[in-house]
Amino acid sequence: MGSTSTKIKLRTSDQKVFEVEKAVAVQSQTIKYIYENGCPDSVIHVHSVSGDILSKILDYCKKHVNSAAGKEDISPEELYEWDANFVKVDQNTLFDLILAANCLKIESLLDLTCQTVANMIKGKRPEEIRTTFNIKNDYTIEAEEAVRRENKWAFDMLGGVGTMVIEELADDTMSKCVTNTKSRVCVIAANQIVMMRSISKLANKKSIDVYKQPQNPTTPRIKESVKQRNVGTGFIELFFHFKCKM
Amino acid sequence: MTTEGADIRGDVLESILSHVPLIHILPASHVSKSWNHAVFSSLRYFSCPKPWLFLQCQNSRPPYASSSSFAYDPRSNHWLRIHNKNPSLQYASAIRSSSNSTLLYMLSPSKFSFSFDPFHLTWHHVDPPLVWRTDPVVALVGRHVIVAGGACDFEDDPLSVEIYDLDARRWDACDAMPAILKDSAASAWLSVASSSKTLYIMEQVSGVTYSFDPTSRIWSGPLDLRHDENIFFSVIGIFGDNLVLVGLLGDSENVKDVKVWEVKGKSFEILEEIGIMPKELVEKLKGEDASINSIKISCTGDFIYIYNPREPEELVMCEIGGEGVCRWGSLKNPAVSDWSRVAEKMVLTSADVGLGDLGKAAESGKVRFSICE
Repeated sequence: MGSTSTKIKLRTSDQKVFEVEKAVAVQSQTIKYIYENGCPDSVIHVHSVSGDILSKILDYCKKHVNSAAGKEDISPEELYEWDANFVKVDQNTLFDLILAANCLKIESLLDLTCQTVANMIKGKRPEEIRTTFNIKNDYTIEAEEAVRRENKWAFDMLGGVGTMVIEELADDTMSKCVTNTKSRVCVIAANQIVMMRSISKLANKKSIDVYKQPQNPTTPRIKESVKQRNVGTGFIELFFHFKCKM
Repeated sequence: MTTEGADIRGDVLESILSHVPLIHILPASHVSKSWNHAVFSSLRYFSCPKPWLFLQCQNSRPPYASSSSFAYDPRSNHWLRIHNKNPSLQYASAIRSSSNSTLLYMLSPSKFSFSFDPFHLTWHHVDPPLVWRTDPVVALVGRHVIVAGGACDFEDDPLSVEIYDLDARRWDACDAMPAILKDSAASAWLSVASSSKTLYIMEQVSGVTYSFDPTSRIWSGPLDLRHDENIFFSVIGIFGDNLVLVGLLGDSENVKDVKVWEVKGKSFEILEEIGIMPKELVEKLKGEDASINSIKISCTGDFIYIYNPREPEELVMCEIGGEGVCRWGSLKNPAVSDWSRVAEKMVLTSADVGLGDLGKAAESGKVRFSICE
């Protein structure tokens, strides 16, 4: 049958059957492959997709096929807006759409939905991301420290305080930083992390004398003493006095 | 997200993360163990970090303060504005770039300062070289900073070369540059490329090329890198273990083509043409003027960023893919819309930027990024 309105039947996981035009259905590379390699008369089973989701996906495919074929008079801007409205759904539906687009291999829909979720991740701190997607933080304190140490950085990107970078580590350097009481202080010198200390360990001490033996023999050896004072709710100011040997 | 089935993980999460710009991926890697794995897997298999282009604009008169900085991330096709929160750097002189990579330097009679980390947060300050120089070739080769040529008129030897050893922290003099470069021994006439072991210098107009090994302190050459006689101007950059040559063909009033060759072989005798710049991008380089007198490039990894110093509104980006096939694109320079070109100078560098580099930059407290819309 060479007619342009060949129809393909799709059966979803919840036993709903959809009959769609071939041109629309083969937007899915998976369906296209099955249709071209299997028997075109029987029904194609789309196991992992429910009726509601498939219905939405078929709307998307139809819109895009029609606009590309010129059947609908729609400008690129209008199509872009239509896409933007298409993804204004609740989170569950959005994820279902992603999973379905992934398994049906509809690249443009996968890009669109992934970009939508990516926009929900952009600009957020880890805690905010966890709240948005209801993710459990399965890091223990030690594991979190290990991950940070492994990646050689100690704070998340937005609003990290409490890091000090010593540019020129000469003898008798004085440096200070303000940090909140929950964080850690990380001292970087000669492009290497030479000290990482949690504030809780420094709390209640007027000064600490620590001699730090670095792992790398070319790193300067630092003897530091720390003084602290409270400068406001939850913030303390730390004075570091360094004596170093090169 | 209450149903288990709607949990995003695995390659779907990795696919999502490939749409997230690098600066926002940092917090995502901290969300949970599975997200941490997904971030690193995504960066490895879905969309790996690509070399960034950095633009620094500064006043060309004292106090030379840096007015704005931008960076381009080709992975997510975004320009970022870099806010310098801790401008404690003393600008004794203008910041300049000489080799086509990540090194920036400042040279004054009392101090020589240089920086080669991607975001230029760490500056090294040392005594200046013995010979007074205005426009030298400055390049980092391994643990040596090589300063060549560019000597002031009253100095005896325009070809003098000095090497600063980063580990020993001292300057050494060594053999001067080849005599043939006598009239053009300054950064304005030379294109410089440096790998971890060797320095390559090409005179941009004639194509004469020499190489220098700072360990043996020997100049070798000349290398014949121009096999096409139509090239009137060429520059070089490092590409893996080899070199790339970007050449302008025709003449400056009528540039016919801009081509890219890969230069291979033990003595760099094999030149393989790997790309021709599309005509519409050549027109963008020409800008309002119909001519291109010179081009500058910054070259890191698989990326070559090309621009015309006289018409900096548009930059051209060339990504060398597998099989040596080039993918071309153009970038609108965000710095140009901001300022009047007369009083400001633009310096370009490029560098590999990974998640760790970004983390260090963010934590230093000295910089903050915002995406330019």
